[in-house]
Amino acid sequence: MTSYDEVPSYDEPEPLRHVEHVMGTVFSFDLREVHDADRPRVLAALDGAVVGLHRVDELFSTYRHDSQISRLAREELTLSRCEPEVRDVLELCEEFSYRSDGWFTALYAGGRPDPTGLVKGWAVERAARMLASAGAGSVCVNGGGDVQVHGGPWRVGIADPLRRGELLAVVEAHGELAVATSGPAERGCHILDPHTGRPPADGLASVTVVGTSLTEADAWATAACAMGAERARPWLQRQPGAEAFVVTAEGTTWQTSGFTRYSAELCVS
Amino acid sequence: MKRKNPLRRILLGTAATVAGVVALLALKQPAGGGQNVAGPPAGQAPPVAATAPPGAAQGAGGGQTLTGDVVDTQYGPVQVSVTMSGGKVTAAQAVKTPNSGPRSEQIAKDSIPQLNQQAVSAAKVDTVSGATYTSEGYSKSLQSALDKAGTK
Repeated sequence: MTSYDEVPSYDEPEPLRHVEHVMGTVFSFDLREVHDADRPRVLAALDGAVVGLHRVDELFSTYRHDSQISRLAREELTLSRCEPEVRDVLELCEEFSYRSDGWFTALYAGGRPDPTGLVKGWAVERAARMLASAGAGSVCVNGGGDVQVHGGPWRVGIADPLRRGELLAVVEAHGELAVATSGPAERGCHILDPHTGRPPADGLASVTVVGTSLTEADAWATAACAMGAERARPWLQRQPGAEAFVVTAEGTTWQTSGFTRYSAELCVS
Repeated sequence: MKRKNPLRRILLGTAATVAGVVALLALKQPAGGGQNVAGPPAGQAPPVAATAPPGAAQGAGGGQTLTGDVVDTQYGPVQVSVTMSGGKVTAAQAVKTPNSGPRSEQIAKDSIPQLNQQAVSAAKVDTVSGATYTSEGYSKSLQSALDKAGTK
């Protein structure tokens, strides 16, 4: 008698994983649906993406004496002589600063340029797009906790900022989606109110913003953190194309009205 | 009927995630107080066994309440119930403890993070978004655990 117990096996292509330590944090790549024919192109794009991250670090790091950002700050270099990426990112910083009424800012103490708050999200978004166009059907790039995906579905957990190792919610992502989280959980109070130069009085434990572009989601999460609880809530609610999940200092959570569109059950059996 | 061997009944089934969470509840010895009971070595707290969800009830807040079996521990008979909502343990309550009172309630409350830790492993996420970690912070992160599992 013929047995039909065996499930037919699909030619499920091997996922590609890579972890890269760069820019003071860690980038995790998870590429799925990479078919054999596309594999060499995707591998080359992955190499290119990793090289690109190191280049971003060399150009933008405020910890490197010879980065273009450090040289700009010392006025050894003019903006017009910077690499096009540096000009692009600083322009984006200005745009997001304007659109957030100055709550997102790339100007640090003394008015020196510091695009640190934007450049990581921008670099992750660029890397993920490169990989998707190279032929990876499903792409997930996580840069130190900020995530850009293509394809999917992907389940993105939102970390509990008050209890390490635990999750508070899950975002289910289909297609092009970004999930950015800002807050003091990992590196302390580094986000300041640009108007006072101090951490906001009613600081939030974390702000997660979901949208299509990680550059924007990251900028909005940072801006909302700088605003503090009272200002952030109505502001986040007003942002078109972005939804937010927020954890207060007391550990309570709230979300914008459209967030449920993305949220999935935390537990699957 | 009194059960003598709780360990044998700990559920490790894959489908019984919820029951499994209840099963993994570890009791902490109450701190302070007048009674001086010799506790088990750290990390070897007596587990509380639980029955599978047939006895699961819908809680008031839409959550599911699960009540474990009465288990004999070295402190005396113990029974715990937990309320789960959206995959998270939202409440834990000592139904029966050797000494009822606020201290026992505290023990049950203290166990919630441990229970949630178990629930997280069932969340099956691909990646985790959180505040930017340093290279060092990454090594302790859930993302690091996910990467290790993926690149093995």
